[in-house]
Order: sequence, then structure tokens, then C-alpha cells
Amino acid sequence: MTAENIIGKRIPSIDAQEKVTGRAVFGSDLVFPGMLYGSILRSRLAHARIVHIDIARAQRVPGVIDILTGADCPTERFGTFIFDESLLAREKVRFAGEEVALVVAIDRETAMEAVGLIEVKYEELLIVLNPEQAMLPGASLLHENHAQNIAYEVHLERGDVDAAFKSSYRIYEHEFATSMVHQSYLETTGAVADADSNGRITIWAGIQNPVGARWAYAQALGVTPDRIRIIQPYMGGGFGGKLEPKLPALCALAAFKLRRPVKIVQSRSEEFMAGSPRVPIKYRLKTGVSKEGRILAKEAYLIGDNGAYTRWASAILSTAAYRVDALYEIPNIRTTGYLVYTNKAPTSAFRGFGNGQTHFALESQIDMIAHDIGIDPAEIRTLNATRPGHTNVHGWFFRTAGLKECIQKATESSGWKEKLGQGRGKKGIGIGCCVHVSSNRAYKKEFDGAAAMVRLDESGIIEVYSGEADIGQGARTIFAQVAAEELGFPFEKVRIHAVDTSSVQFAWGTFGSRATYVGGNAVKKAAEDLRRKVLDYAGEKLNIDKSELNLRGSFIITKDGKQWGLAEIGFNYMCDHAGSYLTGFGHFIPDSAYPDENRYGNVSGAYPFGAHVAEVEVDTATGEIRVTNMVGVHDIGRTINPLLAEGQVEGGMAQGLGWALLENMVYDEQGRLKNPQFLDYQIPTMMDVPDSQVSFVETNEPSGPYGAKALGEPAIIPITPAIANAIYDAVGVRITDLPITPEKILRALKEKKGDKAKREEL
Amino acid sequence: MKSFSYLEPAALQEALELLKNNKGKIKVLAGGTDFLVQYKEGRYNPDMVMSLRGFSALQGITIGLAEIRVGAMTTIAQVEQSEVITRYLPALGLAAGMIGSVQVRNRATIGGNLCNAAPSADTAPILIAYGAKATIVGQTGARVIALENFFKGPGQTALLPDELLTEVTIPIPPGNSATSYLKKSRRQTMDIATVGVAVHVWVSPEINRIDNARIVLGAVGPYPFRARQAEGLLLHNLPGSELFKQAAQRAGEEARPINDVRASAWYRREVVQVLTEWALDDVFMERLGIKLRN
Repeated sequence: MTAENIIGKRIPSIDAQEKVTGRAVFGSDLVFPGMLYGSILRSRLAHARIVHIDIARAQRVPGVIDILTGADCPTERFGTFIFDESLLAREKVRFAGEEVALVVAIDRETAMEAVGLIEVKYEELLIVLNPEQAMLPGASLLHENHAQNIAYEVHLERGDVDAAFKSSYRIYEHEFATSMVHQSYLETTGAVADADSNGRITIWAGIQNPVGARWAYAQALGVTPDRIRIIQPYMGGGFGGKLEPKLPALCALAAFKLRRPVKIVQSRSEEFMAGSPRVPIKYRLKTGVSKEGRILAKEAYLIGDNGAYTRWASAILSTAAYRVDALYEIPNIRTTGYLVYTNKAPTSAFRGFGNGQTHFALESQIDMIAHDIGIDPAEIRTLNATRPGHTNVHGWFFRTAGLKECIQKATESSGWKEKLGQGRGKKGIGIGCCVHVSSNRAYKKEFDGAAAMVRLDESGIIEVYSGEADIGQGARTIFAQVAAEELGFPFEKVRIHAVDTSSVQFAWGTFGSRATYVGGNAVKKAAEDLRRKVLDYAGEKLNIDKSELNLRGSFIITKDGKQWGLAEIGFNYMCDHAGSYLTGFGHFIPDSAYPDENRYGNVSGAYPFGAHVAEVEVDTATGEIRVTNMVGVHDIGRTINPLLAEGQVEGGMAQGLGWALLENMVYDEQGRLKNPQFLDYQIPTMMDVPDSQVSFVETNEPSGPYGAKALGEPAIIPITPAIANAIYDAVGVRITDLPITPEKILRALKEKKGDKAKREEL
Repeated sequence: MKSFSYLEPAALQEALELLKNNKGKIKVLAGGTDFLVQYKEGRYNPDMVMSLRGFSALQGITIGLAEIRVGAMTTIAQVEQSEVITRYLPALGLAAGMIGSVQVRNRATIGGNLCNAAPSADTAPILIAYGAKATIVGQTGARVIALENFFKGPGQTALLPDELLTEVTIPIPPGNSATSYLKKSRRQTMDIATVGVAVHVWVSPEINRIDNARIVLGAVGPYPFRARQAEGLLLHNLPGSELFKQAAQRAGEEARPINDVRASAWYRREVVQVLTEWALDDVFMERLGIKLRN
């Protein structure tokens, strides 16, 4: 530790002032000389063969520069794991909202007008909207090379499941379903792209993985990744939905063809129709327990709705299949999962990455089990909780695990014991827990980890170069804190270089709750390297043994108290090295393992845990639900910035509340989205979200930067089942499919009353 | 999105002439909170858009001997905050405050809310309950109709293509009356009604017999309408919880809801019953201070 001690301080976001004063430049703010605007013709049909596209009338609109169709795209398809997508539809459209043509014009209005004049002749095909029906023999196929519409599958077996069920005291079997929900970030997806006369493409866009995205974009455009440079402006949120989004590549396709800057910004309804919403998953979950409530065996069957194309959903289904098994110490597990194509928007990553879906199922069922065998729902969780030092059935090793402490803190601060089961008929309290990863080795075969550079310039300013993107969550602030701490340097003098793929090193980007753990570790190592280099150079110049030098508050301090400013050191070094800055390099590789063919292997270097308690009030006349209190406790190893960490949890809980109670993308029978706007797709306002109490359990993860683990995704996961469980505590009805609407509650209450009346009659 | 000509007449007469000379081609713009969204979504492609913001004659709330007049261009925020409304028509002020967001209420107008004719419009049920009348002006002069006859279907009103709604007139309710508007929506604020119920009742002094009753249902039919059978059950009876239950049940039966993304028809009927009963409890017990019989 140095004198600065900036770790653990409540430091406002490094970019807060830029943002609140409206000066921060987002992608949609960018305007370039000679810039053209694109507007997309989207399919009205959910499944059809394209017979003919007539662009003649649209071309005649004054101001239209070009109209691109599938014929302008490479014949090879692109994707992240499964290559099934094309920038513009070729031969077939597979969901209503799919990109069919791109009009480029001198302004947006002209482009939109021309879009309306394109005539497409389609031959309609049978549509499949339900994944279970899509798997049946004879169902209409979306992709001819995927029989039964199965895009991906998971099969896992550990221990002796059948024997464990045989020896179980009780076995529970339930079905659960999660809904299709949208990330609903404030800034819709957009991009500006340009191409120079040598065919080098530059994209300015809010992308969660700006460096990594070049691989998929290169494939989509039929060029090599070196031809693509991505510059990330400020970003208005992503929550998983802006992992290599398709739109910037489509924008680049036009810029590449026309050699002019082109801008496309999606409307909110386009965002809903063709974004990458959460993968809805249906579960059949069978769990066997001992008399004491110890979980002996778990068998799960999952069907995930992939939508029309595979973005990250295969990795999401894999995550959904087995990450939850790290929450409790379960020795016997069998899991089967299918990811199935349907004629709907391609689904993909949304905060939690499949883990949230499965937690809703398991954390609901654990509650049902606790009530049935008469154990406090908090206690059954503590009894089964993963302990530090444990290696689970999938080979995951938990160096630190503060789940028990999270449960204890969350229940104590919410008055759990006094409230549980006391407000029947109206008020209720419920708990949900979670485990997650801090980066995931399984996502990328090549490597996991991160790299960074930290440099000292001639003015004594420290600049951090990392390709791990700040998408609004605060990575820049965390990186600046880490660099400042390591160098004993004032926070205000640390700058974070904006992500520009031509100057930062390779980085997978922001997903899998990676930024602080792997990105922060890399910045720490780079800062350590710079510190060493500064001391080496200063020792050499001052002719003092470097062990007698200290680096603190922008100064080198000698043992006898002489000070030498970093600005001067930076300047001198630069002059001595013909312009070269003192630069520290660092990288971090977690001690995780790429899973083997049976998915065995420790996928992450550190596992964060959490517990949320929700309190609700249910109106039994209307079924209305009000969440009246939320308590969130997370084991994040060490809190680098409590202000930012609390914000993550508050935001996660609000988003999870929306998922639990309000949000749902609904399709009609023709596969058209019925609610592609915020009027009909409702996210919670501040009036729907109660005050919350957030706190942390610090387990000091040895592999984390200053002991830190991940938080971004865990923040949303436990609250959704906690709310479902609180509703059960309040009125004794259990809703197993999201969202939990007043209508479902009222129906269940009436059925329950009817059942009771029937029983009394008998 | 198609371009249109924008018209901003300086006086009512000019606006009416423009309407007459361009019959059916003009979309009238009040606050724009509904129109602009629908235009951007491509639901309207008018040749001409005529704003009524150019003249102030249609704005403001005035009180007469027996009635209150609200100009069609009066904003929802003005209705919500008006002292006259708060004093004489409190349930209208509360209903106005349930519309959209602060920003929307600052722009949206009462005339716009009515002419947009959404089945869920929050000011419509309560105005009908208060017995409001609509003043409609055309080239040939003005006509006045009961607001309950103003709505013809979703987005459809009694206005002819060359007419404008200029004013809403609401009789000042007698002292022995009370009103209530209850709304249920999916979230607490910034949402349109899943169900809205307005109730207005008069009682005989001292004996508390129900002399008149209006129950108006919103968002459960093609337009807001009166549950006349439920009203009939109340009439000439003494207020009592059993009576209210019966009336509420009848109102539920009279509702003509549809299934949509907000709720099913079944749920809407259930909520009509609940809100009708609550609104009756509210007007008699809370507002008139009458103790109910069983």
C-alpha cells in the first residue's frame, strides 16, 4: 500500500462531469464532412424466401446515393461461435425486422423515404415461434444445415445421479420459464464508419468489445481484421446487447463500398425488433434432497430460444446449463440443454449471460423445497452454500467464497427472522442468491486475461491504455484508481486513453464481468512495471541505489528527503530516449483452465457471490405487486470504489425488478413483435423501485487486483427470484414463469381460493 | 416518414377556413405528444399539419355561475394545477396528474387528450362522469354535445373534418355530490390505463338516498362509456356495501375489454369490478362521509 490509498475510496466516475454537463460525445453525436446517412429496410415477414428486390423507385429519390442488398455482402456467413448470419439477408429472411436492404442518402429523411419505396417480393414460408415445436420432426427449418432447428446442445453428467435420487428423502420436479427481455440501454445502437482510399475502415461506435469485435466484423465484411480500426466514443450502456452488434459492420459495408463516411443510428423500435434480447429459457428442474435439506442430486432440462441467428446464445446456453452448480455443493448433476432456432429476433447476451435465467429457476425451487420440508429458506441456502477451498463437480475451484456471509448480512439487515411468514395475505419477504465468474476461460479458446500499458509523458501525466471498454459501468475510473494506487500518484493526474484499436493492445472486451478483475489486474501489472522503470531511471540519473528511492504523490523521494518531480523525470527520459516515453507493460492471466470436451475445468480465476432480500406488498384484489424494500449484499472480494459498486447493485436490482414484474417482448402469431416501444414494453421508473440497502462482504480474493472480484452481472441475478419468493411468502402463490404480472397473481389467487372452497365442500 | 406542410393560423376563423379548404388533408396539432410519436412510427402521413398554438383563445380555465369552461388548448399541467379545478372538480385534477410524465403534461392539452380518442384517455371518463359537454365549432357555427357522445371508436370522434373542439364545459357539481377516478396501470407512473373507472354520485340531503349516479369505464371498450345498468342498480337506493358489490359486478359485466399486451380481457373485467367498488366506497365514505349499510 502506498500513501495515496485510493483503493476503497468513494470517488465519483472519472467522466461524471463530462456526462452531466452534456459535453461527453457519444456515437450518435458524431458528424463528419461529407457524411451520408443510412436507413434500413427490414423484413415485415418472419420467414420468407426473397424472390425479387425492386429498388428502381427508391433509387430515383433525389439524394439517394446507393442501395445495398444481400448481393453486396460476402457469400460466407459470419458469427461469433456459429457462422449463420449475413449483414443483409441473402435468399431468405428469418425474422420480422431482419435487414434486407440499406439505403444510403444525403440525409436521414431521404434515406427513410427511399426505404419506403423499395418493393420486395417474398414467398412466404412456414414460421416457428415456439422452440419446443421447432424441435419436432417436420417443423419448418430456418437453417437447412441445422436439423430440428437445433443450433447447439449441452450434455453433462457428474457423479451418480440415479443413485442419489434413489437415496433422496424427497424429490421435487418443477417447470420454470423466463421471458424475452431487452437491455433497454439509453443510447440505441449506432455507428459512423469511413474508409480511406486504401480500403482501410474506421468505425466509431459504442461496442462492448471494440478490439475483439474486429474478428467478427472482418468476417462479415470479407476483409482481414487489420483493415478495421474501431474508435469507441462514450457509450450509453450495453448490458450485453452491444457485444459486436451487427449495425456498425453494416455501416462499414456501405462506407467501404462508397469510400465516404456513413452514419446509421437505430430507432428504438428497430432496437427492439432486431437487437439482441435475453435468451428466454424453459426449464424442467428435478432436485433431490436429504431430510435435513442437503441437495443430493439435480437434473435439469433446458430449452433456449435462439431466435433466427446465433450470436452469443450458444455460450449463454452453456452458461445457463452449469454455472449455477457453483452456488451450492451438489455432488450429482445431470443436465441436457438445447438451443433452438425460431423466427424471432436473434437472442444474445444480457447482464447475467444465461446465469440469471437458471438462477430464477433454481432459487425459486430451493424456496419451494425449504417451505415443503419446513426449513427457513435462508438456512437451506446456508446449509448448501459453496465454501472457500471447495472444488465442485465441474472442476471449479473457489479460492474465496463469501456466500454464507452474504446470506447472513442480508437477512440480518432486513429483519428476516421477524418478518418471514408473518405478513401472510399481504406482505412478504424473500431471498435469492447468486454465484458468477470474474471472466470466463470457456468463452474464448485462444486465451483469457488482459493486457495494458501505462505511460509517463513529458508533463508528468500518467496515461493508461486498455482495450477493455467502459460501457458506462465505470471501468475507466477503476483503472485510474488502480494506476494511481500502484504508482502512489494523484488520481486527478491519471488519464485513461479512449479505446482506439490502433493504439491499445488486444482485448476481449467488456462481458463476463471481466473489466475490473482481468483489466484491473493488467493495469496494476503495467503500473508496477512503470514504477520499476521510473525508479531504475531515477536511480541511474541520481546515482542512488533505487532501493533508497520512493515514488509518492508525483515525486521521487530520496532517503534524505530530496524530491524529484515525475514531470521532470518524464521529460528527461523522453529527451534521453529521442522521444520515447517511459512506458510500463503488464498483462494478467487468470489461473483458470479451458474446459475439456466434458466441460470439466476451472473456468474462472475468481467467483463472486451475492444474496438479495426483497420485501413486497401484494394487493389480493387486483394482484398488484409493490416491491417495498431491497437489500443487496455481494462478495466482491474487495470494494475498489464503494460509490460505483453501490450504483452497480442499485441499477442491477432495478433492472432485475423490471425482469421479474414488468418486462416481456410479445410476438403475435405472424412473428411480429407487438410491443417494440417503451409505451408497451415497460421498464421500471424510479417510482416502481424502492429504496435499497447495498453492502459488501470482503473476502479479499488473492488473485484479484487488491483482492477484487466481479460485480457487474451478479448485481441483477438474485433479486428476480427474491421477488418471486417474497410474493409466495406474502400470498402463498408461486409464479414460475416471468414476468410475474398482477394478472397471473390474481388468477393464481382465485384458483387457490377455488381449490380451498372445493376441499371444504368435500 | 413523409414531409408535410406546416400551418400555423393566427386566429380560430383562419384555422376553420384552412380545415374547410383542405378537407381531410389536415392533421390538427395541439400539444403533439400523441401525434409526433405516431407520425415518427409512420402511423400518420398527413399532407398538412395545422398547429393551434398560434392563438390563445382556446387556452385557459374560466368559472361561470354554474359551470367551468376549459379551453381545448389548456395544457394537462394547467388542469392539474388549477385552483379552480382543485376546488370544484378535484377528481379531474387528479386524473390529469395521472397522465404521462411532467414533460408530457406540460405540452399535452385537454383537447388533444380527448380528440386523440384513445380508449384509455385519463381525462375522458372523469369528464363524462362530471357531465361535461363538448363545444364543437365549424364554419357554420358552434354545436354543443354531451362528451359521452363525443367518442365513436379508437381514434374516432364526432368531429367532422372541418370542425374543431374548442372547449369543454363542466357543470359545477352540487354540494351533496362526490366524484372519484381510479386508474390501474402496469407501473406506478408514466403509463396508460389498463383500466380506469370514474364515479360521480349525488345524494338527497339528510336521508342520503342516491339520487343520481354515473359510472364511466375507461380502457375497457372502444371508447370510454357509462355502465348504465350498474348506475341503475344504485339509483334511489341507500348506499351499502352489498349494493356496491352488485353494482361493481354489473359494471364488470358491462365492460367490453379486449386482450392486448397490457392485460387480458378477463383481468380487465376483474379490475373494473374492484375499481368500481373502491370508487363507490371512496365517494360515499371518504368524500361524503356517509356510513354504509351492509
